[in-house]
Amino acid sequence: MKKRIIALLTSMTLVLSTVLMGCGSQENTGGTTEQQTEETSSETAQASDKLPEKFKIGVVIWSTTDDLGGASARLLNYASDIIGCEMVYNTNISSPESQITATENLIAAGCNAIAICNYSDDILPKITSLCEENEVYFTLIWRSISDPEVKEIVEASPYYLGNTCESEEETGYMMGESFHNMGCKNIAVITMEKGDATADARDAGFDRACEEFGMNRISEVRNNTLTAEETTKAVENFLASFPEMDGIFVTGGSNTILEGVIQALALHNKTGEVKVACIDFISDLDKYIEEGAIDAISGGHFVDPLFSYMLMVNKLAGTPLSDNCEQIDLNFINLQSPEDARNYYKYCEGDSYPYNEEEIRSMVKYFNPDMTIDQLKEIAAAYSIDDVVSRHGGDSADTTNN
Amino acid sequence: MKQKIKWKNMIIPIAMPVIVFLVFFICQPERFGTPAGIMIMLQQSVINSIIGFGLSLNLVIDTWDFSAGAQLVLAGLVGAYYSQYYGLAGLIVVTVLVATLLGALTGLVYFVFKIPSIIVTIGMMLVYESLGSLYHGGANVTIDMGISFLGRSPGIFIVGILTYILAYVIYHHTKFGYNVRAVGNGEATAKSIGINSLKIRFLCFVVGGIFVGIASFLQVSYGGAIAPKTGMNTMSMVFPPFMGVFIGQYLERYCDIMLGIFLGVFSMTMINTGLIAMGLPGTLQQVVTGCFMLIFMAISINREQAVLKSRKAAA
Amino acid sequence: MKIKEKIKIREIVPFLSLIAVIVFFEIVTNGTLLTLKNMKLIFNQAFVLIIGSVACSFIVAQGDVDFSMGSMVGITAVCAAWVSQVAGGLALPAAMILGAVLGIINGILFVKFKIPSFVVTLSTLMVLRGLTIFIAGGGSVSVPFSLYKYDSFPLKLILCIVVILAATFCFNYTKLGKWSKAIGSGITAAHQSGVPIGKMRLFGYGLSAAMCGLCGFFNMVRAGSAATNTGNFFETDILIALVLGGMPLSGGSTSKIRCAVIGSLTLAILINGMVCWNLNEKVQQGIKGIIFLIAVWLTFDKKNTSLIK
Repeated sequence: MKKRIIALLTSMTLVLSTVLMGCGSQENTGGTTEQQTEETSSETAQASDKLPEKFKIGVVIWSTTDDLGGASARLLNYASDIIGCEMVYNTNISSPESQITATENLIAAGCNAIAICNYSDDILPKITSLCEENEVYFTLIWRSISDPEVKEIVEASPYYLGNTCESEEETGYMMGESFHNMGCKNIAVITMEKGDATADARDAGFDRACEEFGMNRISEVRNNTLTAEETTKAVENFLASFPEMDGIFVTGGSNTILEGVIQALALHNKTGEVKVACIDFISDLDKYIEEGAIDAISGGHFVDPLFSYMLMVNKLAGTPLSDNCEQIDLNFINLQSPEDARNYYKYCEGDSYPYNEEEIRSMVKYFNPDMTIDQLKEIAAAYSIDDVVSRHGGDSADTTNN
Repeated sequence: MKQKIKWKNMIIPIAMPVIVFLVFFICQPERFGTPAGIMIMLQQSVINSIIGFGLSLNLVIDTWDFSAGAQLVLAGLVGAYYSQYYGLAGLIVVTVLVATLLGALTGLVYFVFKIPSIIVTIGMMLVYESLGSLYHGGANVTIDMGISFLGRSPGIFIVGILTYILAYVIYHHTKFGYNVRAVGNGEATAKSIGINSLKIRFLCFVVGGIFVGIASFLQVSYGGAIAPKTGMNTMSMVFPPFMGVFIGQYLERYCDIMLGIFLGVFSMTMINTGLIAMGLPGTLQQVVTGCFMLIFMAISINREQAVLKSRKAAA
Repeated sequence: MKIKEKIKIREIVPFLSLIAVIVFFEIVTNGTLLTLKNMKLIFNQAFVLIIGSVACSFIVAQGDVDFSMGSMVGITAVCAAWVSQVAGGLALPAAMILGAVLGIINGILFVKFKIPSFVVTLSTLMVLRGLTIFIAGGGSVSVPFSLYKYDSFPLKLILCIVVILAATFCFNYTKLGKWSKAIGSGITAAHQSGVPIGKMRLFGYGLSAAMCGLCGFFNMVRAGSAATNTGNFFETDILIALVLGGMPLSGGSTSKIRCAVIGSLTLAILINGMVCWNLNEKVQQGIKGIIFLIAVWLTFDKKNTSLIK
């Protein structure tokens, strides 16, 4: 009897602690809680500041806690709080079929629209038919559709609103070019598994640069879930097996992968000797750039989902920006100095957002009748540190942008 | 005769890593087997070996612990966070303490619920991963370079050797270790001589937690950072140590089990490094490691059976 | 009388868990859970889980484990995808035959070479996952649009019912089922009673892997492709589903096919319900773990298990 009581108490403690921590986090993620409902109802007095209906937007994403996913989630939650929407995230996407399941569950949860970071083009026809069946709008984030057959099917759907993407191939090429400019010849690559649309495009661009500039891709590690320790091991293996290595290219450095590379080079006194280029930002970039631990880095594309979000919100509010599906192109931010990094975290990420409340609201035609799809595209195209600084003030004299 | 047995006891455990080394050294002498490379491989074997020391206590008594990886990550996150305030002492003490507490919690759930360990540890793995992603909003934690010296030579080797000594002493020279071996050799018999097997299983989780804690701060020091992992991805962190323990259990008849675990882990590390040196795709590493495991076990078990048969026939 | 009542209570706890989960999420989701649309979604998600769990029941009934099921799903899906690009009609047979062959190899390693099942299947997990990546060319393999029609609710429902009925019949009324349970109840007694233990193990692993091939095919047509991570952690989901349904991991006479079905539905409803409830995605996994532990605690037969390992 005593043991049953202990067992019950243990399990109740576990349940309470996880739910309490979850409820605490829920407020931050903009999920539904009673407190938030009360806050929302008290805000109805300012009805003109919010959309007439609290739309639910779902996001299928790999993580809301790593550098990139976490920053995006914070920005989307901030935007939702401003205009009066609700965000729901589903991160159970370990395989293509689980992405379908994640989308289905978000639809079942009552989402009016869904933003998807799809693993590959192949699942999109299924996603399209799911959304059509359930009359749910959808967009893609960080992705474009490369398969022409799939593109035709998806773009023919009235529920597909468009996508936001970056020039991954071009950025991969630029990283390769920067290695060449630094005099590197033999480069090891840490990348994601083949089939991941983003990694494939960045790899393709990098390979193009290798061919053009006569560099060698001497070894590679392909893994979507590397930890810092595993990355350190991988780099050490490169160092041990390929003493001629003079560069390491990380195609996706969030979630402590880049930290692992930096650590490995530091452990073996190779910082600065082996050049490091990475796509994706991490924290303390100014320090790493200053120490010479990172030689070239592109990122800052956490704002990508915001533009797809705006396509969806405008459509749901009854004021669509376009009658067709639209592709919104975004630039990466290239950091070339510690100053760049400091400005980035001062104005773009961290405690501040690259778009303030007024700017967010102005992207929604319901609040700003003059908003057009071309203007939204211009906003995306203009995105850079200089752009953010010019809009939000600041005393950074020496900023360089892409 | 005694000298003959002693030679065999020394040769057989060492033969496995030596054979693996020679295979890759012959294939790629310029890229594999350099002194620096050997040091790196030894270094890389330490963390998985320490996890293996902790898991071995459970595996000896047929208890699974799939939550060790999640414990390692969660303890590492907490310890790395507190290292910002208390430096190296904070990292070590907090990490080991948290991992031990998590081990104790797993053991408590097992002890109280009285359900199979495979269930308990999968359930607790899900809980610990969830807690890791909630801790400080699931942010990655980076540690100061100045306190990460334990992640490299000689610090990592010193810690590794001390941990090996600790594991050896616990397993061979404590009452607890004796009881673990007794339960492992026959639980019903152990119970009948008054050993409380459930209590021993609980303590195995606690002691296992200590080793996981040591591995955790070494891993954080080695990688310089730690990030939460969800989606049962921490489960794959325990597979290499499991393999090491299986090998260690079979080498136990020739050498100390803890040494056998290290030799097993080291052999698999050499396989991974050797494949990279040969320029083979990383995907083959899993294939080769899995095949190595199967071949080793097949040879060990069937050799044992053959020896038994021949002894019976001789008798 | 009291013992009989206790046994009855333990047997109905999985049903009660399923009902409790349904009622709970029906309330917190304001009626979203039991809409026809959502129930179809849940079934779609539970389908492969049910098939896999039902097939795995034969292995678990014998007291063994199979950690390689996820990798089996992955490699069979990839191979089926390649075959489908040449001959769509051969994709499913190819997947199931390949699965059966790989399963029998598992069984041979277990029976002939006497390697413990957990070592065999853990090693096979690694080998097959590596081979999957290699065969897939490191990426994903697309499936012709013509195969998408197989991702149909009526077809899956019929197939599911057929598999459950066939498995139940086999498990309860044929030698295959009785011998499986006999091995789980006591291997020595089973051997002495003339049960062909080696053949039964080969059968168990072969069947399980063949059904993984079926699951791989349906995963493939559902996702429109087979990727290197298709089937990831499927074996853990199967294990959770079986235990949620009250299946004893030590196997034996109390093993039942209905455990697989109930557990799979409970797990699918739990996952779907937590998303519909808007529960923080970081918390969902923890809740799943706790419910898993509590459910097993309530259903596990402690009294008849002498050694809990």
